[in-house]
Amino acid sequence: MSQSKNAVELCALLVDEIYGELTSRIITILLRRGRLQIQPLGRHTRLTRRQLKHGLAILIQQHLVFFHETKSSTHYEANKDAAYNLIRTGKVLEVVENKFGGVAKDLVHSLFLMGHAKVPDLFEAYESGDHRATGDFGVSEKPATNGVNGHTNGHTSAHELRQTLVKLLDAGFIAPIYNQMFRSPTDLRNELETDLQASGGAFDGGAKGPKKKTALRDKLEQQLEDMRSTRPAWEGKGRKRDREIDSNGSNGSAKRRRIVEDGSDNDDDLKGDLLLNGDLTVYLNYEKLAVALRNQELVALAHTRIGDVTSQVYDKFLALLEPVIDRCQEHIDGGDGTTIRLKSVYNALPENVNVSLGIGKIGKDKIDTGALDRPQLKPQSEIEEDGDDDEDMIKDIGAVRPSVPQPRFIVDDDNPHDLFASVDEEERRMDDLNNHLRVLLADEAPFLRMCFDNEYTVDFPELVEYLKDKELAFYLRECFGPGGHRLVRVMQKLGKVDEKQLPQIALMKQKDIRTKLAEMQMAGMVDIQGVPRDASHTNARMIFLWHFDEERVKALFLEKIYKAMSRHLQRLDIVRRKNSGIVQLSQRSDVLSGTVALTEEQTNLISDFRKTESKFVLQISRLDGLVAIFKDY
Amino acid sequence: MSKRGGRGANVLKGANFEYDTEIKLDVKPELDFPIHPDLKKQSAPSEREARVLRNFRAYQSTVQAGPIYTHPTKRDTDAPAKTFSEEQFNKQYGVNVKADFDPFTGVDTYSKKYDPPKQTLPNLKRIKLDRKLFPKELWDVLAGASGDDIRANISRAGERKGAMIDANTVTTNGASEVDQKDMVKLIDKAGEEGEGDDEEANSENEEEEPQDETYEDDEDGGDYNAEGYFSGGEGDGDDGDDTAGGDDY
Repeated sequence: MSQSKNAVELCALLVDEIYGELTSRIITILLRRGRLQIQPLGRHTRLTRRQLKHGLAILIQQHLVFFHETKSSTHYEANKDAAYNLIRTGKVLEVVENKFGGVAKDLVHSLFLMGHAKVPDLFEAYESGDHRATGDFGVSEKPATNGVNGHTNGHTSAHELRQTLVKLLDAGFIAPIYNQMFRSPTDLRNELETDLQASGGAFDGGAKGPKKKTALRDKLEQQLEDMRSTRPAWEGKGRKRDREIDSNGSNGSAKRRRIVEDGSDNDDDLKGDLLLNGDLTVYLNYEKLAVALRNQELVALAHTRIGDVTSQVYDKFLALLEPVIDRCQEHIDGGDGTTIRLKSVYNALPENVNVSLGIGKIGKDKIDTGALDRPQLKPQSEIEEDGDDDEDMIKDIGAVRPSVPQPRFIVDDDNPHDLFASVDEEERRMDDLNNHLRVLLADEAPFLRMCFDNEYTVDFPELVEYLKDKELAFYLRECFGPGGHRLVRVMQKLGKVDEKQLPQIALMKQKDIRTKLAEMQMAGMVDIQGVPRDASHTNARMIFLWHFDEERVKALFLEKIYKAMSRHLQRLDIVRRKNSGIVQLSQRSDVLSGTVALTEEQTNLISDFRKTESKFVLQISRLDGLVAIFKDY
Repeated sequence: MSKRGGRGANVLKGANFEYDTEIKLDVKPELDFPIHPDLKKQSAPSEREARVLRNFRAYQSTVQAGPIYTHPTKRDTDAPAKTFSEEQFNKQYGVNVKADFDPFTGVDTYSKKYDPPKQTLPNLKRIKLDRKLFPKELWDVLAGASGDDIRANISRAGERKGAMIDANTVTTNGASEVDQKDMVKLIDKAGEEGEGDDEEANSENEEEEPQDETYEDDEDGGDYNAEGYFSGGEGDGDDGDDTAGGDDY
């Protein structure tokens, strides 16, 4: 996140919203001023030393502030991303609940409260029931569709708790803390650089000359990357791919399937118990959680573009890929990157997903699937395309049949008689599944890429780029109408366009074009460049070129979203103040305990306020979805 | 009203303005914040979004009820959110109980004991912190030995107040002889300075005191502690619902 005014304002407001005023005041100054020691921090915040220390302790505990300690001084620096991530709390809890059930959600909730915690402390916090506060928004209280939610109110055995934690650690959502996480990335870099220079060798006495500087930078990157991989990894993380797959399908039948190469369950538990008894301190790994959130977003995209069943298939596919992706925006090599075989998807897919639905039935001769059967070793962006003909042809694909016969045997330890199920049935299921993957393959959005026969992968950068373009197009259309959007598309395709040519290309009137372009220029969406045709520099002898700078517009758009989110929070505060009387009344201990009953009017007032409040938070969380697409995924 | 019409007729020759009683102007005063011409209604939350909302709200309310939340101390809650300088930004915060006391709503009532407690400092005692993971200069506020020292200091300040009322307590509180002498001096001083005691307790622990803040003394100050008779002295007297209500009338 850039150090923009809007972002700073938003982060301060978010911290205020969650952790209260003291922490927010400190982080505001840290965000505005950058690194500070405690004395200047006191000068700028006008807080007493005691208040500062308390505030900083909380901020460090919640990972909102980095610190850097040397012999003589301690510097503090705000962690912008962590501050921003506060808005995702609800989403993270939802994603965890969806995947691992109610106990896991409550565990994560406790960990959110604690920042980072030793495992026994975490369990204790869970037992003490910090999580049992209910969110009394004006929304109907329906349990998650997952069916595992029933645990929340009952007692959870220690064993179950451990198992859940092991699952979360395995998934990477919770991770052991590591040394460097309390230091800011810049500090870490500087430290490494001094170390490198002090250690002698090639960089003794500082890097001089551009060549050496590049070498130093490369070396630093390398070391930072190494550091990332040498973090104290959770033991169970070794076997990344083809791990245990829980098949909690949509109707909640918790039937467990596993793939042959996986170990047994008891083994996992034993190891987990051993590790959890120790001094393991854990924190919430937002990088990994962002991956899960991204998957959710992509599945939603598949759902809107294609359909329910296909999106379920895609969900399983992404779930298989998830263990190998540690963070979003990680560079994954195309081709030799991780691929998922059709069979793995088949094995992972729960029984209750009826893959025969959601696909049209057309005879094989009616469609040409040639383009789909061609494996593509590299992402689209890296290949020079020879033409768009193939794409046009495959757009209307209905059903296709696989050209390669599929292996038929699956091992399922819960249902051994599956082995003897009718071969026809299985082949048909495999066919249907393959068809779903092909529908994904053929879609305009680059959901999948086939690397080899029946081995697929996802090019996340391209897919996210597609999402960005889609959102940006939607925004431009909303703000500047179809005309403005059309002009932008022309400019996107042709680059810089002469104003005189635009009417012919865009098929619009010159007058309309001029007004629209001027309007968009005022909003900063397009820009103009004048090129004189001769030395006289008169307007008549000038070529005016319009262009659309996508990167700039995306940055502008992001800023606008930040600003909108800030305004929502401020407005929410005003609404809160207007209703402060009734809100305070509802928080009184005698009202909460039920000794004093509220009148009907008061109850109505409170529920009205809650509804308004939830509208604001909903809008902010929707805007956050956009920020995620443009910044994080 | 008819007078106005007549006057118009007098001023302009030939023109006869009759006051039209039927006339209805379709001009309204312009709103300060005009309604957006193309405002779309927010769509209802989906099931997933509803869960997200509930989770967020649950987390927020747990934090607010817990030890790490600090309640707002803004003096003027209606002041515009926009500030132009650090000084202005800082000025809006901080409450001096005595100076900002509101005589109309500030007086504690019996029902105030039901209000949720307001804290201006996070309560680090109630959370488990691993001090190895914090910079050394923060260690003294974290729970532990040195943290207890400060606690002791604060309670000593409270005891001194008690000592001023009842001289006997000085001998029974087991302080060393040097402390006793100090105490006697303090009592002498207290006669001249009166209320200056709080500030002194502060300056013992902090080298820098930029603002006159109230101290978080959750230790009971004996029966002299009249301020915190109901709430432990924490309340800043500003309930929030006493916003300068003038504009309603």
